[in-house]
Amino acid sequence: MSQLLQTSVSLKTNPLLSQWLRFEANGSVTVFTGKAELGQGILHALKLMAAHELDLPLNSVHIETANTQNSPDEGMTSGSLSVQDSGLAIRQACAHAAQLFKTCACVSYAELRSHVDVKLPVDVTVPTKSTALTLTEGRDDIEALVQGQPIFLHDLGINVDLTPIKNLLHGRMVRGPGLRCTLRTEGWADAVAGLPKEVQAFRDGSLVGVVALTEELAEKAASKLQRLLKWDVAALPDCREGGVDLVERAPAMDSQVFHESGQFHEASKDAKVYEAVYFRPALHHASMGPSVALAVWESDQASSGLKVWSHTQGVFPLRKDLALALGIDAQQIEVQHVRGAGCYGHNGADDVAYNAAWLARYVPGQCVRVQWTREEEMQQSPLAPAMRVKLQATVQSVAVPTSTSPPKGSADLELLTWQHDVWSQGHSSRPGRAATPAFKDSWLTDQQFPVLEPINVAAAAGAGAERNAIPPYSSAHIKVNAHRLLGLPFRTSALRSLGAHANVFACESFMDEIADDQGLDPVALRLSKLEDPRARAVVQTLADQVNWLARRQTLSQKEGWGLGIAYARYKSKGAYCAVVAEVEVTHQVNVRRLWVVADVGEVIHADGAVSQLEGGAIQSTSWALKEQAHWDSNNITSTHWDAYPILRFSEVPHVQVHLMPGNSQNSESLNAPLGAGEASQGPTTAAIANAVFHAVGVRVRQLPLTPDSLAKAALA
Amino acid sequence: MMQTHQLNVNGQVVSFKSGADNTALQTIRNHLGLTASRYGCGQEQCGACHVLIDGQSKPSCQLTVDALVGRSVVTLESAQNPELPSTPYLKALQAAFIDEQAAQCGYCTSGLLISATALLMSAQETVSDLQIREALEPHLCRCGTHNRVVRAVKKAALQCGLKLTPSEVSA
Repeated sequence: MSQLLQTSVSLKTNPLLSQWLRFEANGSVTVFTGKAELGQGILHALKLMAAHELDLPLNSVHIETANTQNSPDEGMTSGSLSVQDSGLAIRQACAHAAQLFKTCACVSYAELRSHVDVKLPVDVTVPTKSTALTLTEGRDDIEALVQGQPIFLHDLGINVDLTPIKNLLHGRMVRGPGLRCTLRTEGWADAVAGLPKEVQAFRDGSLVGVVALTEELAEKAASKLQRLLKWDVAALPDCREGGVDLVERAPAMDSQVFHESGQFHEASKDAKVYEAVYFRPALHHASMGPSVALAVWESDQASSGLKVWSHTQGVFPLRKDLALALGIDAQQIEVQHVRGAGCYGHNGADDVAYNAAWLARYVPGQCVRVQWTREEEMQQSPLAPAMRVKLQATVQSVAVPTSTSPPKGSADLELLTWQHDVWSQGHSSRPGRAATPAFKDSWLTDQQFPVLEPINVAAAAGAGAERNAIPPYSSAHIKVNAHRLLGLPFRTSALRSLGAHANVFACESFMDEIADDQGLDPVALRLSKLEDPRARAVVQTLADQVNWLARRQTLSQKEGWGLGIAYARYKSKGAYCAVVAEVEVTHQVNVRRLWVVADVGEVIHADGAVSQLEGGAIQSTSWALKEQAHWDSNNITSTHWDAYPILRFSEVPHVQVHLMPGNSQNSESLNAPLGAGEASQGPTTAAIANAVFHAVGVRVRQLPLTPDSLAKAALA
Repeated sequence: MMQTHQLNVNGQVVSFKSGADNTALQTIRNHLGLTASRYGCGQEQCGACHVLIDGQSKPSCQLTVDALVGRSVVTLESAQNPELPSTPYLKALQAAFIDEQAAQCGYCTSGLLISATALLMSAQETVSDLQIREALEPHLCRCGTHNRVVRAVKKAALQCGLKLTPSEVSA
């Protein structure tokens, strides 16, 4: 039986077959997507889906990466939605094409060139294949990566033999500290007069940049100006432990009831009330390659075209804000996506694209390349906000009939109330969403664009700070309050999993605290409170795989060793994921092993999903053990890897990933595919914290789990 | 001040003009057009820019171009040159990285391959998990491909006739 899938969001916005597919004269098919390769291998997964549906070998399908001129507008590449949005749209378009192929009795897809009208809408009633994908080929871009081919945007224009870009100029920005500062103009003329004649310096309000023929010249000129220019700045609030006290320092707060369900009952006398506060500090994206962009204006006319090359997550939103910031029509701008280093959310890609476009306007006809330094990447990219979570629950033992005594460790416990309060700045400062531009540097120009307050996207779009704040466990009454901190001088935005990381860390730590206090096994308690059978299957499969009870028992005998579990369904409607962590606590927390079990629905590219889940678990281990942003009264100070250490090879745990079958719900049909990219972030950190408690009996509620925080928690 | 430099890169003598205080990385990328070596931090802290200098894996982002004169410099592009002693090791590693799909974004891959090449070239008969992780310790990877990379290096080691020391960590 074939599948009729719900029309994907992307297909509704881009309904024409020609927006997704182009049939080539040689019989191959070109597939268009608005989603961007961020290092996650998404283009490969999309290609597999297309080839499967078209019955073509993989090398007869080509994917065009995002470009504002010829890609479907699919907004951002974010939220683990590329397979659901783009993949399902491409699948439907390909099913339609395959049907036309049959109806027209074609021998080659080339024949469809004359059959398909450019205005033909994708027929959403054509059933797609119901068989699981059998193509298992690996990513074909790995070869280019291991050969070091110039496929990154960082290489474009640098390698003169391989680029169409001529007359390249190198640009660098010069900035004062903080979110918004004012340049003191009295020193400007002298500072610029002292620059070499091969360098041009430009200024608009408090925004300053230079261009030169070589990168070295541009760098030297920028650092010279950096030393000479003076700025008036607003002080940053004191930094204590990555922003643990920002809640008290925020000038204002927007508090909302995010969710309320069930009935509130008065608890009986024997009910027990639990309460705990958890904290996740501000984090950096810390991508390996600092952001870069190229831009060129055709002429100095007001109607001039502008071309921008960017590793943005969304070519269309970037184009919209470039038009706002530069005061031109969006139609004048072409944004071409070229891959950058691994992207885990809203990093500096859009901002540096604005830098390049702003500088290039002063030198029409010449392409300007702006490469941020490591320091700029850490200071200018948005931070992932610091988050505080308070949990309160009322718990009551259920009277168990004496005749049917339950097996040991089973949970005879009822959750009467569960309240989750989360305090955080907003998790999105992305471009494309407001009436004024989102680029930080655009706020410094004479146009005086306002500083944008970070927002949280709507619940239907996955929410921001509130993501995964609703517990997956059955409770008679559930309430979630979200408190958005306003007016703080930090630009915060989306980092992989957004609020889910801190919310799952809090919720899953809290479940463990309740289990421990009630003398219950943490797995048994979770299984008894999860209603969704797929959720229970994931937790049970994981417990079986690690031989949970026996292994925990064995580890209890080994000093400093412990085993912890955590579970979450990403965004409460995405992939199911449970993680067990095995730790050894010495003077520090050493994560030795992680087991990950996930249900991502229909598996498109198993190795890709495994790789995303493992990579996410390792990144989350790094967040859990080591990471927190620092700043002084002037600026962010965690600007280098020694000030912002991340996990290194010797510290990386062994990781084992298991995927549930794609037909886990009903053996007759495949479940809808769910993105795998962010599902393991929350459960991994929580499982580590729970394992630490099992190992040494210390409950650490404040991340990261450094020797200091461990010592502090032990004394508390 | 611009000077003419002569360097031995990937087994070939190349001449080019650049400032004496330019970094080796900028010289290799911008002046020689060999872009496999990546800019990651400019502080010798991330490993993305590693090249082989006289067979040793070294960061190139703070080294001045002067310091390369008279040395043999090998970048990832050297795999084209079969006469270099490092090439069989590098090619075995490249094949193993593809087999193991040991990259996500791949920005750190060049540096990892350079350090792994240096390790395999200098290894005496055996190589252990610990030695591999130590050799790769200067390299940061943000995507979390570490374990796949270690597996790929082990596979390449076997391919190059080395033996693996049994792992001290039980699985």
